[in-house]
Amino acid sequence: MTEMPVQSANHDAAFIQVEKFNYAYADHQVLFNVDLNFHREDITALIGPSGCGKSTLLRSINRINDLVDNARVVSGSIKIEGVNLYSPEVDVISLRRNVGMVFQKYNPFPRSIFENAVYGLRVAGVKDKHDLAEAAERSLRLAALWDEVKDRLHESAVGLSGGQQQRLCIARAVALQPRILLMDEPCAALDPIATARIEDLIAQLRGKFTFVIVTHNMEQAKRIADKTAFFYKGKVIECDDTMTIFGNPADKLTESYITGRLT
Amino acid sequence: MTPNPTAVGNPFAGAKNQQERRERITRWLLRLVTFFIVAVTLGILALIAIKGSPVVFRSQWPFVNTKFLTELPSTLHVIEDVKGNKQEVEVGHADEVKAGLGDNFHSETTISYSGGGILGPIVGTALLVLVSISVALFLGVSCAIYLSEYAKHGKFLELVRLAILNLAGVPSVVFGLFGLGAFVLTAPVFTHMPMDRSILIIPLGFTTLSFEGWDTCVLSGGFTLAFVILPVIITASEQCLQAVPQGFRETSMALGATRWQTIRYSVLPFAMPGILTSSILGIARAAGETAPIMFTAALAFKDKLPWQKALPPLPADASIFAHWEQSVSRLLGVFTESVQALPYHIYTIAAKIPQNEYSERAQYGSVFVFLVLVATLAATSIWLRRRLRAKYRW
Ligand SMILES: Nc1ncnc2c1ncn2[C@@H]1O[C@H](COP(=O)(O)OP(=O)(O)O)[C@@H](O)[C@H]1O
Ligand SMILES: [Mg+2]
Repeated sequence: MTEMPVQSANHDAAFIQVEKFNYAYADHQVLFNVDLNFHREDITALIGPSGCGKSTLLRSINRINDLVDNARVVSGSIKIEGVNLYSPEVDVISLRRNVGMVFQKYNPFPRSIFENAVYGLRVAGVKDKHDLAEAAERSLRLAALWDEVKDRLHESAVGLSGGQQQRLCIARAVALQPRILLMDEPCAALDPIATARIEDLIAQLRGKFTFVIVTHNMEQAKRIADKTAFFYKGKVIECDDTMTIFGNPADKLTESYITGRLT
Repeated sequence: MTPNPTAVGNPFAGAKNQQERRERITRWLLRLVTFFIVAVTLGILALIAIKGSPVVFRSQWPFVNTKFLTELPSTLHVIEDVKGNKQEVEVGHADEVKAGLGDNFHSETTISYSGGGILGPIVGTALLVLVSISVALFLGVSCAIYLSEYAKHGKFLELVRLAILNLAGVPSVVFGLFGLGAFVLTAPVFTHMPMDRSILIIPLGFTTLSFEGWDTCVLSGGFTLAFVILPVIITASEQCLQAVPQGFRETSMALGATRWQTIRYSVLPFAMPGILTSSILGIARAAGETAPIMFTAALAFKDKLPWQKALPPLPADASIFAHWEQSVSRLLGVFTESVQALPYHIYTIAAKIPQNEYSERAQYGSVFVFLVLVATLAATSIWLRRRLRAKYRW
């Protein structure tokens, strides 16, 4: 894929395009005609009540939902720079190397911090010790974790605090230098202080990746997102600048959700 | 239940006493049954310990009857003199002792298999367990990985599970016959001279592949036992694989790992401790089975250890390579030898020879050793599980 000219980067509406996307688990359809554009280097928040299909859409972007038995695309497409992710020419392995993901429940492998950080490189076949060490340091620095763990890289990651574990998961995801970072409620399992640190981190990383972040926390969406998409029962009700969504929503449903009258 | 007429006025009196009595009786009945089971179990263990430990232990240094643990079984000769003194004599020394007694000699009794020790059966059982657990782990873990990680949920998977469940219910003597037919009589071997009864002969140029069976040997018995414990290993392995958080798989695949890499680096390592602990229980099962090895590996008596096979002597000027080759073939040869095994040995001395105090001693000694070995395995399994559970938490 070719690099886009810098000046048009933030106006590149066609970076990730979700078009008429319908998705189902067996016969239970959960996404209906989803049309969404994620802009390059933007942070887009997906909000909406539980079970409305936010995770399903997010997990369709790196096709990790392929692992779920019976999960299938009914119709429509998701394109990155015009390439349909579900077309047979796409190799899911290289797709996933280009699209990092951070899960809700921080889940580092019960291995050393170092091994967690370089997991993606190892499975990609990188063997050179020097390269691995360099990548580990770079990604741990990027995840604002380096100073806390540089003296115990070879201790188990399970000994870290919850917030540190989640930042390690972010480090692990950015080690492959993906261009897109998907986050599924990255702070849902964390306390407020750890949450604030993750939000700071996301703010620091702004511009380095194209973020799609599912969140339950509307304050969080307001704080970090450029764009916000509101989902309800598998449909996109409204997608606009975060300011507009929270300040002046066009749809009654959106308004009742952000004011807490809809759960 | 009719209300107690004497308790009119108290609507809650009911048949309280009667109910309480019934409750108490039920509880006591259940408690008695439980106590009975515990008592029987402890009784069996105590009997074996009381009768078996004098055979295995000594009151003087080294406190263990080394002879019993390091010698092969042999025939015991008991020589009685005219005064009624009995003397236990090893096979080779019987005539010597008789001559020494001269006119005092009164009578001689021989008791098969009850002299010497039980090293042969211990070694045989160890070899059988080694082969069976290796085969069963390889097949069982592969199958469990397929079922847990690759197979789609559905009818086919249910059918396979049902088949495995049924395999667990097959009587072990059936496995014995299966082993006889499959491994002893038809399994393929490489040979230059196929036997007449070979079922299929495939010439390969430099040698031939002949389906003539492995004969009764450790391999045949080990493979048969592997099938006996396979259902246990598959079920346990599948459970251990399922216990690995789905998040590990998703994370690994999201980082660009293939399915096999994911299994190799992020599922199996965390399931392996559990798989190994439960396979120790499989070992105990394999060690204890008699029927599957009766036709496939075990002999009632054998006067050699598996590596003591007579090989053609090497010429005096044989190269170091020839010596090395012979050592290797001696080592590998243990798997193609028939052996004695503990459960079969116990069966033999308990049911196949006339009973008297001497054969009883050999029985309880063997059973005691056997029980200690199995209990050690079970204890190791529990200890390992505790340790690994503490180490691999997530
Ligand atoms: N693995 C699955 N199998 C079947 N149905 C699922 C599965 N995962 C999610 N669903 C269903 O899909 C719908 C959307 O779920 P999800 O995408 O997780 O919503 P959200 O993340 O917005 O809470 C829900 O109704 C849920 O029950
Ligand atoms: Mg969700």
